[in-house]
Amino acid sequence: MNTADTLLNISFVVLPLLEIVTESYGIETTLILPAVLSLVPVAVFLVGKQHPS
Amino acid sequence: MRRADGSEIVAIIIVVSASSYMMAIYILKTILPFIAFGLGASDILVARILYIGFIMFIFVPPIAGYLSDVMGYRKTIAVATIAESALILAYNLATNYSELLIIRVLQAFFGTVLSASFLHVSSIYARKTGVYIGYLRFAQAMGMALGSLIVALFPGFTEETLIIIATILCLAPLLSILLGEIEESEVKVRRSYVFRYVLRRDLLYYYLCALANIVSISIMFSYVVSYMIEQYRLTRQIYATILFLATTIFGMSSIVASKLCDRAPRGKWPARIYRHSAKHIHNPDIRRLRGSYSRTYTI
Repeated sequence: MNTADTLLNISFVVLPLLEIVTESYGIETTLILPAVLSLVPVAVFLVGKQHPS
Repeated sequence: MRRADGSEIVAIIIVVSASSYMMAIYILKTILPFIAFGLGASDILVARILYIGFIMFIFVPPIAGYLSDVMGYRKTIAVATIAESALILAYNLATNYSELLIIRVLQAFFGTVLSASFLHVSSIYARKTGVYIGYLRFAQAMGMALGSLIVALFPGFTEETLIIIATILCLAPLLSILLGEIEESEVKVRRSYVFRYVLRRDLLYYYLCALANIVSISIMFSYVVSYMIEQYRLTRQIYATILFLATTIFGMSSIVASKLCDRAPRGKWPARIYRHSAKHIHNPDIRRLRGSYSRTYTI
């Protein structure tokens, strides 16, 4: 399962890319991302509820 | 009074060394943005200093695993501990942003090697000695909280003094060398099987949640922190207090989360969440995955 762990860690490449986003669109765009991402588990739960296995 | 037997001493060593190490890292983490701002860095440059630790997690854990296999866990931990402690001390020598960046890259590299090897050894010994894994996470989180608390409680301490305290505490993983080399039974698994297993479609919901979690946390601990300190002119003491409260809540919730995860297949609402988000949550491999991704907090 370290493989899965490593694959998940690859997502950290977005951090340097966010420097470009911050410089182009302002820090507000970057700051809103954690709020948007925190809705993902809720969305996953709701999708799972509508399509029970 | 009952005398402590061997396993209790081992459990104490694990908990003390893990929490002391986390304390060192969190003293550093609390003062690092202030050191960078003090050297004239902008908020993006401060964010860069902070997110380097996360970047190291992309490629260093496999290197740490390889080194641990080749050199053994004890040697890897010893070398990484001494190197990271020396590099933490070197923060006191940085006179400009470039020097700070170089020290940060090296410290984060050895820190990731150390945390990958050391926390793996801690988890194995915790299982062997019957320390509930949630309590090990709790000890780590309490170390994080205490690190920030020291900074909050002693505003009179200079950054140099705090760096020296962090350097001493960072040597704690050397205690784990007393535990002896761990022996893991080598299981030969084909690489193609591993990828097929990991990239299963039914894990997609789990990955989505985990990705959202680790990306949002890494943004919080880099861009949000640097913006917050600059925008609201937070003092070191206020920032340390915020970090203390956040890590304390994280520590307490890690025990609750571990207990809920253990009950998930049988419980009511946790079962509903996990049936839809990770159908194979009862699989011991997935348990290991869940525990390991909280490691992203450590650097």
